[in-house]
Amino acid sequence: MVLESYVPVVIFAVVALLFPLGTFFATRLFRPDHPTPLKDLTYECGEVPEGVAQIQFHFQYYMFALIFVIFDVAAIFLLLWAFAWGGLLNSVSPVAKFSIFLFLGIMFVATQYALKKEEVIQI
Amino acid sequence: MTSAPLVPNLFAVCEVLVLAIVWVVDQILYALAGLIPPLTGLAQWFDPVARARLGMGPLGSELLIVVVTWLIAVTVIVIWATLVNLLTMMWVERKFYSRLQDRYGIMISIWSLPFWPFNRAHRPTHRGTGYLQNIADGVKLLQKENITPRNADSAMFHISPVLIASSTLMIFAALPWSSGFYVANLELGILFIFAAFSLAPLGILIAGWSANNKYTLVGGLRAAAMLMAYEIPMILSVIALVFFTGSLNPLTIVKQQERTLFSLGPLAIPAWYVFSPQILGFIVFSVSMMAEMERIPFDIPEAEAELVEGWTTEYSGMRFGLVFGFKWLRMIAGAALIAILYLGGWSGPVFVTLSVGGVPVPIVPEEAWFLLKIYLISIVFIWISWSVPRVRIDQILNIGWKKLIPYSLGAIIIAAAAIASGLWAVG
Amino acid sequence: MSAFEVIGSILVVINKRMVRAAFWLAMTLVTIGAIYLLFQSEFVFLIQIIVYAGAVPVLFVFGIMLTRRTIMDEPGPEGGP
Repeated sequence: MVLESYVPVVIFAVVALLFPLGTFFATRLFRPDHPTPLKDLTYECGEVPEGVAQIQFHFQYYMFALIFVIFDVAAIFLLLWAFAWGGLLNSVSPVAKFSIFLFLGIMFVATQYALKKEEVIQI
Repeated sequence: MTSAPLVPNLFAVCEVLVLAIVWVVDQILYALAGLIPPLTGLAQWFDPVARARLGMGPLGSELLIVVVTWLIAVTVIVIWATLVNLLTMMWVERKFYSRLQDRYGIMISIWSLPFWPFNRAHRPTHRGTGYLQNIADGVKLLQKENITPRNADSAMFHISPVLIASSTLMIFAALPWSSGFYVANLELGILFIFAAFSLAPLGILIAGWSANNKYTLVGGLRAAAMLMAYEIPMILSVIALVFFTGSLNPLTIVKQQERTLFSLGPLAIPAWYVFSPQILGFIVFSVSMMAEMERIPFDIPEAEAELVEGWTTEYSGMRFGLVFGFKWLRMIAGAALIAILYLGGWSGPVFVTLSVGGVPVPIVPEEAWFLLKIYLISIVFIWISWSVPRVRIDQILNIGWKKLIPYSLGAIIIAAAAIASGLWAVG
Repeated sequence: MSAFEVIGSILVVINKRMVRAAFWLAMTLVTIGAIYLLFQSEFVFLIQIIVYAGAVPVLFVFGIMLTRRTIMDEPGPEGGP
């Protein structure tokens, strides 16, 4: 039964959520709280901060995030394939057996091509 | 002969504990019922003998008792993971890298405590093993002021450490410590652990963004890009392993590795997956696990020469303590995963089994073997990380996307070929 | 669980700061995963967490950083919001 084995996990999730929250609230009992305008400044190695960080900027990691999502989904397909491989070996159709390798090849070539765009990374 | 677990069943052990506590409470309730008669019913509800007389089921099947027992079991695991293993791992790391750098390292021990039985005049206070240093650091962080920058997105700034810490703790919901010492025996346990691992990049990214600091923003972006780059090879090498195991249950995977592969004279080589065609997957998995822990060759998210403290720069007090300290928790989980998947988990020889009151107690229980493997793997990681220089960000992404992914795809093809050619029998 | 999901999705829509909305989107997707679990499909639940709570919001946040941050606060070129 799937649900029964997840009962402790649910309880664990509640405890895991309460643990950091409890820690943060517990520190209120011990720590001082004297904010000053100078303390609340953004840290920039002692200098007065220049502008804000949340600007529009071309972060080059976007391409990696895009490929990551695709690969995540592909990995799930491969996982299902790995589970089914023993059964697939007994089937007679070569399409069922080997078409996944075609998929792997296309994925691999496409990824390497996409990464060509971000050859030089600035930050 | 393989070893046996010290804790055969965590739930059963905790149930005995809960029932003992209930018995004590029950005696108090009966004593109070002499003064306040309505309490008698409550006391009888908790009393196994009275329950049997009144025709109610056993106390252990009541929902309240089950939930309380699970709560205690979960708390035991959390305390075991954070207060015991986390502190020990931090101590091992700090002491070990100090020795690598030819110095003593942390030395605050019980003899440094400033009150009576410890503050001996003739005893040097800073010449101990240093185990209490981490506790001292924790207490210090507990008293530190918590500063929120004025420009920060306050709500997200405070939520993201909770997300990171809870998702790290959730790893231990599915991670068994031996064949008996676990919270949940999930059929897809390894996948669950990956799911818990995969929530961290979002938390880190939001933490870096919300502080509105250039260092944290760049650190968070780098951390997210790096964790994403190394999660794929990790999952792919586990997929290569699934060809051999046919299961994602950690208990099943360890059970398959308990047999002997072949004998080399008097030495019996166990059927660990590292000795199989999975060796390529093992290397890929270890490297990406190291990146996933943000250890030094891959610690570009907090390269202190460039980014002060990376995405944790603006955190102070216990918030910093949690997000910083839980890195060691991830390290323990990563080492445990490597041990379970490739190094036989908790399987190992048992030397003598004692009998304490009829209950067999193994001298070297499975937990000891497992902890030994975890700490050995971690020491290897610490050794590597304090010996090699940091890798540049574009090199990191290149290693992840252009080297490790082809290697892990190769591992998948090797595994598929090994099964298809009958070189290795499934299970 | 459905209540959490509804609350989460409302928070996604009404939030003016895009990154907050992305965070609440992730939480909503986690609760959707929990609903899959209630339907006893463990695999889909874990896949939902890995792909939709781990990967997609990160992509969204990266995408948000490519756009103008104050897109909701200041009037657009035509004077509209």
